[in-house]
Amino acid sequence: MAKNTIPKITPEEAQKINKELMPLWGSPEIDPEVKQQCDEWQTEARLTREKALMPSRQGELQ
Amino acid sequence: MTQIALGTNTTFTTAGEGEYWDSHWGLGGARSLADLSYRRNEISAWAVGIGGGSAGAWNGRRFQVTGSGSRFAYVDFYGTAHCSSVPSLTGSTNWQVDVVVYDSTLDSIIGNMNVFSASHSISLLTYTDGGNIGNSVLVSLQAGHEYVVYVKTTGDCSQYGTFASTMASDSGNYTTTWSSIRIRWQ
Repeated sequence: MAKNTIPKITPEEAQKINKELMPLWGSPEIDPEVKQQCDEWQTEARLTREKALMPSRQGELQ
Repeated sequence: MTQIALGTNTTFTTAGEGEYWDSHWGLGGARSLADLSYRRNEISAWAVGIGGGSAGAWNGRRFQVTGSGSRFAYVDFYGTAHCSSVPSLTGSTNWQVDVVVYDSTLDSIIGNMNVFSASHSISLLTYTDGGNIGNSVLVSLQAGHEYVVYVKTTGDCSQYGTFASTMASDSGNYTTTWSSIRIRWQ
């Protein structure tokens, strides 16, 4: 697997980060283009994931 | 290779094989593991700023049916699965657990039951999802064929704004762990 860009964030850490960012950003607007970019990556990742997670066929076990 | 005589009930309590996968983009990360020692799937994904992560893992048992003919059987799955998620105001999280029966002779999934499916978006809350896996899948098993019965966990997280999102099912009680898988002939 590729090395992660940023270290793992737990739910507790995410809440802490969001609480600190909230006064800065308030209720942010979502850029539709960025959202679309995220959705496209997610769709592609799910397809790749499903293929990668298929068990080996009979006789193909390493 | 474990062999099961057609018509003889069998219970698996140890995992024999598994697989895991993860990927990320932008300011995101992901992690995955199929821990066969504990029959456990561990996945997580996170992002701060624009990015995302995706992960999946499964583990279970492979067996071959001996004898002749075919017969219906319930495959009973027992265990627990939990996930903790924070989508944030500008993100989303997804988490899913499936129990699967795969015919490796035909290279075909012959039974699949979705046990949990949780999607959250645009919210400040922390969500806890999951519970007992306890589910049965009815399949027709044929003598001479090889099968894999397994529990699969998949999930992802996207962040399309300025906050932090995370999907965590990778430690403590927040994992997917099966305790037994039973082949119950009809």
